[in-house]
Amino acid sequence: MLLWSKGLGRLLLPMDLGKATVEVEPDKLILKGRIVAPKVNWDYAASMYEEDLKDFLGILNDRVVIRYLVREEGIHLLVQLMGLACRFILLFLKEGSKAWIIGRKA
Amino acid sequence: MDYWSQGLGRRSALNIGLVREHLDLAIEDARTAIRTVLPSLVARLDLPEGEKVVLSGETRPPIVWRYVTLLGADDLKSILRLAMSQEAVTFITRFPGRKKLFVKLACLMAIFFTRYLGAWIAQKVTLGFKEISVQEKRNEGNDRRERGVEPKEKTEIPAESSFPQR
Repeated sequence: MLLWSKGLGRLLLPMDLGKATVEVEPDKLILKGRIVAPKVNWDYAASMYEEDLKDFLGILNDRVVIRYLVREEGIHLLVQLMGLACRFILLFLKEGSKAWIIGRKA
Repeated sequence: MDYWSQGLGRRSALNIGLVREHLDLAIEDARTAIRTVLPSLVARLDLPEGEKVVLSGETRPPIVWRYVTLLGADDLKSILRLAMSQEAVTFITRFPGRKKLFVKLACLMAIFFTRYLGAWIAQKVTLGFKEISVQEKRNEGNDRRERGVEPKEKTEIPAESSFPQR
């Protein structure tokens, strides 16, 4: 991902989201990583709240973005994501049942 | 989304809104997208090749700055993986009142999968039709050659119309 904003002037910041570490806090997910570019060696943190997760999926659901992904990745991405979604649901059920048992005991 | 990096110095984080309606979204070549904000530097920058998803807009107060983000397919995949990671599950399940969030995210993902599949089928069908029409043209050409019929010459339209002038 490349980010430019007015305050950066002539700098473009490259961020490898695949290498970012993720921390969980009660109200947000925090992505942390390092931006390494000429003249730049900075830490960065991006906090994503509940609304941001929904909003971002809203952006991904845009037909322009979907057509772009289909063109670039084909059906393979859908297969990969289906696998991830199944894993996600299983993890959710597992974690959810744990939380329910703890709640019952309490 | 709150974004912070060392380069911001004493400033607090930038608040980047991700609401689709408040953003400009386009699929563009990286150079074309950056040319609008850094025209003099485009030639010197080492920009990635190919089309990218370009999100642009203004950050929310207190610091209102114009920003441009270029996202490649790999970046979008990384974000999708994050949205379905163990950490995201922990975030959703560990804290009360998040079941609604899970349902909403699941619905959005279902819409994404459906649209993705639809777009893929549409792409295949379009490509299929194109291939079929190319093949038909080739076959027509081959048939004519086999029959010894030369392709019709283009009929030229006379410069002046043959219809009587009023």
